[in-house]
Amino acid sequence: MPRQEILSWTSLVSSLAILIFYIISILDWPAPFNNLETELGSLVIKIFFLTLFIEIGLDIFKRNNTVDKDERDELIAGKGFKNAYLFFNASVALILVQMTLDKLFSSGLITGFMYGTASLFHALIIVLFLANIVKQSTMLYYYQKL
Amino acid sequence: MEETRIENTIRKLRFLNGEMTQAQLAEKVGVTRQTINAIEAAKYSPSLELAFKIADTFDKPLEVVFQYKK
Repeated sequence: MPRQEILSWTSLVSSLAILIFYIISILDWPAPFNNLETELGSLVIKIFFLTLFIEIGLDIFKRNNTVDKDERDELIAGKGFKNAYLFFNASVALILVQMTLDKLFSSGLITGFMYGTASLFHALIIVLFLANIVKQSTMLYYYQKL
Repeated sequence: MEETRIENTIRKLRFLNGEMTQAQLAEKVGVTRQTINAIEAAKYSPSLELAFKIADTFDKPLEVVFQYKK
C-alpha cells in the first residue's frame, strides 16, 4: 500500500475518533451511562494515538522510499478536496438557512436545532471534521479505482 | 471515472528491456509503482511529461509506447 493511501486511512480514522470524542464530550449523558461515556472516550483516545503512532512510524521507516507523492496522488487529492469543499459549502449554507428560519419564526412555530452561538460553534466544528472525512473517503475510493 | 482509450505497450516494453519491474520503471521516471500499475492497466492517463519520460526510458518514440484508440 502506498504511503499516501496509508496516510488517508490514518487521517480518516483519526478524524472519526476526534469527531466521536467531540460529540461524546458535548452531549449530556444520562447518569447510568456515565461509565460508558468514560470507556468510549478512552477507547477513542487510544485509537487517535495509534493513528498518530502509525503516521510517525511511516515518516521514520518509509523516508528512504523513492517517491512519496506523484501526479496521480495530486489528482486524487484534488478530487478529495473538491468533494470536501462542496460538502462544507452545502453544510454551511444549510446552517445559515436554518438560522434564518429560526429567526423568522422565533415565535416558536418552527423549532430548529440551532440555539445560540455555542450550538453554531459545535455545528461548524462537526462540519469541519465531516468535510475531512468526506475528503479522505473520496481519496480512498479513487485509490481503489485508479 | 471512465476507462481511458489510451492503450500502451509498457508491459511488453518492460519485458523486452531485461524484464524490468514496475518498481524499477517507477524509480526511473519518478513516480510510485502504483502509478505505473494504473497506467499499464489503462486506468490512469499520465501527463504528457510523464508519458515522454516513460518513452524516453525505453528509448522509443511516444507513439510506440502510447496509442490513442478511436
